[in-house]
Amino acid sequence: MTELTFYPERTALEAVGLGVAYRRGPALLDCSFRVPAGRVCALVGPNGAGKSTLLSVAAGLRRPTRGSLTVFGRPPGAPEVRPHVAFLSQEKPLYPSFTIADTLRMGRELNPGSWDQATAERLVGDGGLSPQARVGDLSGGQRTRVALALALGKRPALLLLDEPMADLDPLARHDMTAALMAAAAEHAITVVMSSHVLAELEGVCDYLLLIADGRVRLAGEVEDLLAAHTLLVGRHETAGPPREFAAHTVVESRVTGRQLTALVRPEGPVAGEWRASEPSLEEILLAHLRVPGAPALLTPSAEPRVAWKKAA
Amino acid sequence: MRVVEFRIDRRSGVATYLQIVQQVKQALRLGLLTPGDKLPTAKEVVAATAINPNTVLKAYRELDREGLVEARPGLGTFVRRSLARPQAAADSPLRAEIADWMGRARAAGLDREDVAALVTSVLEDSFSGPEPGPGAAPAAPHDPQHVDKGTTTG
Amino acid sequence: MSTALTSRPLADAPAARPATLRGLAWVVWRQHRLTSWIALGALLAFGAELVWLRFAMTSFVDRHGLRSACAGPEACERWNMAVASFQYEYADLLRYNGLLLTWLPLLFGLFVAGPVVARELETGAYKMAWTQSVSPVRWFAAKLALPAVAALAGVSLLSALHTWAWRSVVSVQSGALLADRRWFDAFDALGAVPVANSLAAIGLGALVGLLVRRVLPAMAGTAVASLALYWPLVTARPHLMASETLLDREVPNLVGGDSWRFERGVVSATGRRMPEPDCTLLDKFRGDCLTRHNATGWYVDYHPASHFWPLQGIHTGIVLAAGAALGAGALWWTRRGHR
Repeated sequence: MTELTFYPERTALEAVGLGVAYRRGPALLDCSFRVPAGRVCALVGPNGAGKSTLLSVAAGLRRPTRGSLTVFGRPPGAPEVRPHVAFLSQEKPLYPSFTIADTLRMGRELNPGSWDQATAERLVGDGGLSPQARVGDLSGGQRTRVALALALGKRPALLLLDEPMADLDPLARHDMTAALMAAAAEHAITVVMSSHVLAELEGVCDYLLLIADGRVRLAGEVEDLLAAHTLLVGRHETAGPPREFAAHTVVESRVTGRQLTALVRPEGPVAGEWRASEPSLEEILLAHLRVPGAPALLTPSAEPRVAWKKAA
Repeated sequence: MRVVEFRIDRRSGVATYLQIVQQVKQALRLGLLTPGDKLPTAKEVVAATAINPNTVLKAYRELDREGLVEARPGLGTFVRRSLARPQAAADSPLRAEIADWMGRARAAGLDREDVAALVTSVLEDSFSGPEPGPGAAPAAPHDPQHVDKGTTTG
Repeated sequence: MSTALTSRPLADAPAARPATLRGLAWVVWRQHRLTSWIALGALLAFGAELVWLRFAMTSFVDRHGLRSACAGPEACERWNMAVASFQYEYADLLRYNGLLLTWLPLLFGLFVAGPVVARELETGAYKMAWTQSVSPVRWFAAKLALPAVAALAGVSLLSALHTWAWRSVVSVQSGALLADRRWFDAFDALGAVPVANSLAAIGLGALVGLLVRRVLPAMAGTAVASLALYWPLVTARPHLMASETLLDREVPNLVGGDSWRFERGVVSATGRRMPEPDCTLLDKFRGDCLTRHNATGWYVDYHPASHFWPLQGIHTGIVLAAGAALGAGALWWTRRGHR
């Protein structure tokens, strides 16, 4: 049991000027961020925002077109990081002709020296699955369970999950999240999981990466992001934004009749008669998605530590 | 043996780690946890509640900071002192006085919600000043912008 | 940047190399277990049939005394009957066996392009396989090693058996028994050529599978590419090594015993050649053809039977080099995209 899973000084993922282009156009544009080791990081954003692309690059399945992304300071897929990174892609691919036992054996054969058969078997057994069942005969949720067992059996230091809970019923979702969190607690795994369903991630993730249109919009500790924003409600009847907002960063402001509701990043006390409250994470995310022009916010721990000189 | 079990309500608006802190304190007050008891490990908590392990560790650090528990490396987190007060025990005179008052309120025709509203209002008046001791309100009341959601709703 | 990623020492990885290879081999074998068993069964059946055919043919030849010439019209009648019967019963069978061996490399190419490579990409299974501790390049190499070993062992055996069966009767009566299966007819089913072709088809299938990424189109693409690449080689085969030339006033026959006569024409006094001049059959025999084309005689280019093994060697070399280039290209493509 590792009591401390939080290593603020070590970096699990670091992107500097990361860009990925497909033939049909760019998927990621000039992304810079950092995810410290030991975090459970939510990768959120609308469909097509570039979440899967980012995870593919981190898993070593795709090369960046521009800039760089490093995993524990190395390029993804480098021989010294490869054994320490596990990836579960959205479609949870497995070999359908294999039995569950074969699949776990494959994990052992392809990850010599690190394979944790007991963990993998326990996860499969908890789902009431027989080792002799053929993978091709399993339901979507059962396949996810086997795929997660394969990923956790590798004993990764970094676990990348692309929409891991999408096809699970609520009970299985709870069980699997619990198993994932227990493994993260026990082995100090850094987890990066993507989702477009925020409710899946609340309470689970302590770090957040919001991507929209291929760009990083928010990055940092959930708590710090919450603390950095304030929801202001008050009376406002003149045209244009209230003068007292000029000193602060306004993410979004909406006027309903005489009432103005604004999500701001205050740079100090806000003057005037405003009722302030702490926004929920969902309110912050939705505001940033509704206003694409709002400036991005990276908390200090999410700033990349590597200086990057722009290639000419 | 598990001594406490945490119940996490994700819709409550109260931060998850605060829910753990409050539930441990509640257990300390009620005497469910006594000095020397071992709190469940982070792994045990997350395996049951599916929350982030860092949240559990953060709650335990907070309790440690308040001197309620202590982490012994390699062994776990243990309760250091109790919050149960003899004045609040089941057979204390203070409790008897409230029970007596409740009886009179009921006789006067107040129903449960009337009584609760009355108690809450007196509670607010009596405890809104500077706190006499550590422990009761865990939120950060010194932040002028901070308005606790629990009090604004309803 | 810290080099220690976890408490596990990084030095473990190289030490575990030999075990990994066994591990990969197991995975690839398990994936294609059914196909492998079917292929092994087919190999044994085909091999046994070739052994049987060889002994059946020689015993027929010996039983009917076909190794010696016939004497007298009656004996020759029987002899001719026996030859016809041989061709009906065995020569056709041997030819079909040869054709099977000629096209066997294509099967390897289709298998590698579709089920081995493109299926991984089409189903997305590569995302699982390529994010384990072994690198995609090694995984890919192991995937190709299975069919390559099967080709080396299986096709070598079949080709050896086929060559052995063919040789047992081809020289009887200077080839009268296998009139249309001379060494140059059966070239692609003899010696080292089927093995080399199979290995090259594996390399081609791997590259096409990687580029096309879908099972059926990859298989179709491999078939088309195989033919497109193989046809020029077959066309160029007579010119792979220096041939010999026969000059004659009379029109030479294109069938010349053991030698492969591949080009015939007229040649002028200045040495200018004109292959297969536009003459009627009658012209050719009257000699008008020569005067009409202002030629001095006929020539025919041919390879004697002694050129069989050198030609086999050259063909094998070219095909193996192409196969190695294609396989290296496939590995390079894997490494380029995914390390």
